[in-house]
Amino acid sequence: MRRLDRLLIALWILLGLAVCAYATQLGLFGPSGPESGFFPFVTGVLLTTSGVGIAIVPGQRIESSASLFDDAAARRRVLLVIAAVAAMIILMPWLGFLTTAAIMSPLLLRAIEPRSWLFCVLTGGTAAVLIALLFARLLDVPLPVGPMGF
Amino acid sequence: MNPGHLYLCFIGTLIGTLIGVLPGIGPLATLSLLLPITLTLDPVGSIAMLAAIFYGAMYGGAITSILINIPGEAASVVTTLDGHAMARQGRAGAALGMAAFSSFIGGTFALLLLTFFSPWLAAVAIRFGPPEYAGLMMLGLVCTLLMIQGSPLRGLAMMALGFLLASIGIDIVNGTERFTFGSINLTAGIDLLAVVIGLFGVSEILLNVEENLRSKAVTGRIRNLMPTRADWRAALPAHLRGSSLGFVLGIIPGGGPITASFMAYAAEKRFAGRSHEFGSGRIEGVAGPESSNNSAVVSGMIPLLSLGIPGNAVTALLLGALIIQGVQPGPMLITQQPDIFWGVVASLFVGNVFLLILNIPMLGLWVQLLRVPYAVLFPLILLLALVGTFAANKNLFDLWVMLGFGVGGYVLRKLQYEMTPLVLAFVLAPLFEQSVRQALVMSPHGALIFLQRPVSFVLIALSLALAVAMAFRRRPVAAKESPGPI
Repeated sequence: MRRLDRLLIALWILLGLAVCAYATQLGLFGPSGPESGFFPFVTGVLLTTSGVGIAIVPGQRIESSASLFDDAAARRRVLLVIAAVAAMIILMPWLGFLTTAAIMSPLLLRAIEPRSWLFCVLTGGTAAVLIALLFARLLDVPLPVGPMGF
Repeated sequence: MNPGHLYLCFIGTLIGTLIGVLPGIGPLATLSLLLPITLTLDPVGSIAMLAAIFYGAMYGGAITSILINIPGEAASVVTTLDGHAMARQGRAGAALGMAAFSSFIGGTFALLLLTFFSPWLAAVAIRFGPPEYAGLMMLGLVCTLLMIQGSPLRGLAMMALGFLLASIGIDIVNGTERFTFGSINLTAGIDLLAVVIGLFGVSEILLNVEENLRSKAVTGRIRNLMPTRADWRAALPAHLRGSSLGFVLGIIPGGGPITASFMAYAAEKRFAGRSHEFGSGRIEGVAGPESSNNSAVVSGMIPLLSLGIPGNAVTALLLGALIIQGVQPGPMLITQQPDIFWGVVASLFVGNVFLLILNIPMLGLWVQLLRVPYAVLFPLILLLALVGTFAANKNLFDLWVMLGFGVGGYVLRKLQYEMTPLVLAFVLAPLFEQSVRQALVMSPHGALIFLQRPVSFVLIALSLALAVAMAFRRRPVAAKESPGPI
């Protein structure tokens, strides 16, 4: 956590400076008043100042050397969810929302929770159908459709 | 209001109470997930449902606080202290009944004041120009930093990040592209829905999955939902104190139900007498905080509707919902669109009534829902996040933004950064920038206009004074890394 915190502090400072530099190119003030770069410049100053403040003011930094995740199992669960959501975003245009959700939800649930396949398929499948019905039928939101027409 | 709005109030109250009862999903995450649905509703219906969800969640959180000593959401933390103690003494019914009535009393109290206060405030604010609005928003942002539980410097970093993200896209004044780097997707800016669903919905899922959330078993039957006459006598001063405190804290930018409930509990310990008995089943320990948090929810609507300035993350989301609907809240709303203003006020009252008449008979159902494992909810929430984000613009890029903010929000919350300053700054940034630039353009003396206009001068001086006071108040980051609050 300490290393990540330091990394983030460095990010705020560098990002703030980069934003200030970019904003200067956009222009800060012109004949008719503030230009497009004025507000981003102020934002960059605030970002840099807060990063420097967190770095130097006593008691602001995180000193704990604990890991970001509680344990390896927790890390696995979190990364699985992120990977599953990314996979769904990639697959949806090809397979359609309902098919993607009906496949990925049970798989994800099974990977995270020690439940039976029947529970996972029923829960994940029901969730996919309910959401599809709510948005596609009830609210008339056009969802991505796959090769099978849904 | 029409029957459809009544129906939406009813649905909102039900969903809100459900969310408050169920662990693993909070009112902010729910509001952000359901925002896309409100795209299909009219402005009054949209706000009616979203507001009903929020104060329904306030009451729902009290149920878990009282029965299983786990707050359903942050504003119900203090209710665990005396509420659960009453449950252990066999008085769970009285505690739950008093929580419901207190929520109703606090909400109604604030609504009555809102009816008189809002038009007056709007009449005053009509005379405001860009410098005054800039000063007001600056005060609101500084107050937000003052009120957050964590480090103000980390809050400032989040606020600056919110401003930066809001700058992405086309400058509405000059038409210049900012931070788009040639990307067509970024030309339209970052979508608000993708940001809030990612920050509040997806990051919440990641935190819950990491903790491997398990719900607790519920034991015992609930009897005698009506408080006794002695309970009512003891609770009456608590209702008055809590409702008044909640009303004031709800209006102040950066305040809100969480602050209101904590301060109401502190006030009861101070003024109710026999303070050593608090924590062992005092009815005032339930009545005060519960009336206070619902009062704050309602009074938080005053700056939103009358000034167009949100004071906390929830009203920032509501502002986002109104802007998406093409409605600009502010002092002109009452005169130009009175149907929307008074429709929202009426829906708040109706929703408050529904809260009471629905939740007392349905208490048994809510208690049973405590047994629902998070594993059943989690796929539903995840898919709702995906589809809700996609529904706004039908753009897959928004889904990547949602995921990015979800992962980013998860990491930032683990590192004690709060999301409220970020979302508040993101929503306010266009208005704030416009006000500042308009003020500077109209001024022959540049930035001196902020000092030459009395109201603007007072607001900015107050903001600077609060900022200086904050600088001298030390709040070190906690050694134990539990995720930062929203």
